[in-house]
Amino acid sequence: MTNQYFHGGVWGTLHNKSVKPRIELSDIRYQADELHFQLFRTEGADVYGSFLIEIAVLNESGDRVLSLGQRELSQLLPGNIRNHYVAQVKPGKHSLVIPLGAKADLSIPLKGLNTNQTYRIQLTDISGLTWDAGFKIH
Amino acid sequence: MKLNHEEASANAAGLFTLALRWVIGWTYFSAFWRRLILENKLIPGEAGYIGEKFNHFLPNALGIKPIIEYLVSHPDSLYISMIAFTIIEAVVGLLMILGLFTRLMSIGVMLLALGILLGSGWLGTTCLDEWQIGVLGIAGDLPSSWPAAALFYGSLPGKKGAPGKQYQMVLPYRIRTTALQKSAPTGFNVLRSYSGHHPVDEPVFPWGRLGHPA
Repeated sequence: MTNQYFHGGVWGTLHNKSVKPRIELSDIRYQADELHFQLFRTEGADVYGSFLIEIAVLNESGDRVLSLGQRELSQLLPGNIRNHYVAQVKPGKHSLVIPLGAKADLSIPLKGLNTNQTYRIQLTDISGLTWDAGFKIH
Repeated sequence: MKLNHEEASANAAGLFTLALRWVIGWTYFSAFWRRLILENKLIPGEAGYIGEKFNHFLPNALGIKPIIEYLVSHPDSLYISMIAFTIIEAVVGLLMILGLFTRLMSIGVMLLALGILLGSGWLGTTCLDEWQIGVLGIAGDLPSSWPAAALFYGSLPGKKGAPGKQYQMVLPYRIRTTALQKSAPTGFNVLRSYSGHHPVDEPVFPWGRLGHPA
């Protein structure tokens, strides 16, 4: 039973949640020229990574209205990150390091998003994996 | 001292599980050994802190997510429980290896293995590592918990030789059988049938058939 639950090892699709990182994006809010969202890393190897190399905000036509690259992410201030648990999201030497099981609220200054438009937040891992979530400003 | 064929088989049952006891005992005792003696992994905030490892279990744990989430959001409680777990693992593992209070310890092993299974059963980059540890811990613990450690006890006084001292060394065996009588009538009956009609608290020595003086 546990084999089936954890790995799909008895029937259906086999899965190993330790192979690739996965980050869930939620609670996206835009307030007072700041973009707030929550990161929760739910999959991937427990002993390593993941390493975010870009946080981007895209508008409806897919243009980047914001792009934080490796340099900016490695210099994020403690004030930008609010960690929930013991495993913590922290700026690393060249990226933003997100350990397995870490959950954090990020606040990023961002001016000039228009109301009644939809945007997407896109996260890029060093492996090339991306995760995104859309939001609309009311 | 009278010893018969059936008693020898009670010892054999203990002997069969000896390898299991040593390996299972070491899997828990070595956790303590690695965490505190070879290195210190019980320092919050430092790389390798065991509490952070515990945090890794959270996203896909089965049934015990609320407990893990509470602990990883309350670093003080987490620290205390990590120390408690480490001590429990050390005691359970060591006594399991030595064969002391084997039946009681096997309950500990069962709970520890179940905890590992539910918490981290989904982790493992190659061969479902943690799931295998969990289920094998539980499965290996079952046979070791029944015959306890008859042989191991029996051989201890033998090295000392003196018949008077033998009886003292056998004390854990008496405690074992008495505890079993109260807590697990089924297991008791099984052991009883192994040891034939003999009073169960009479020591069982493996060398009985080899002509030890009565």
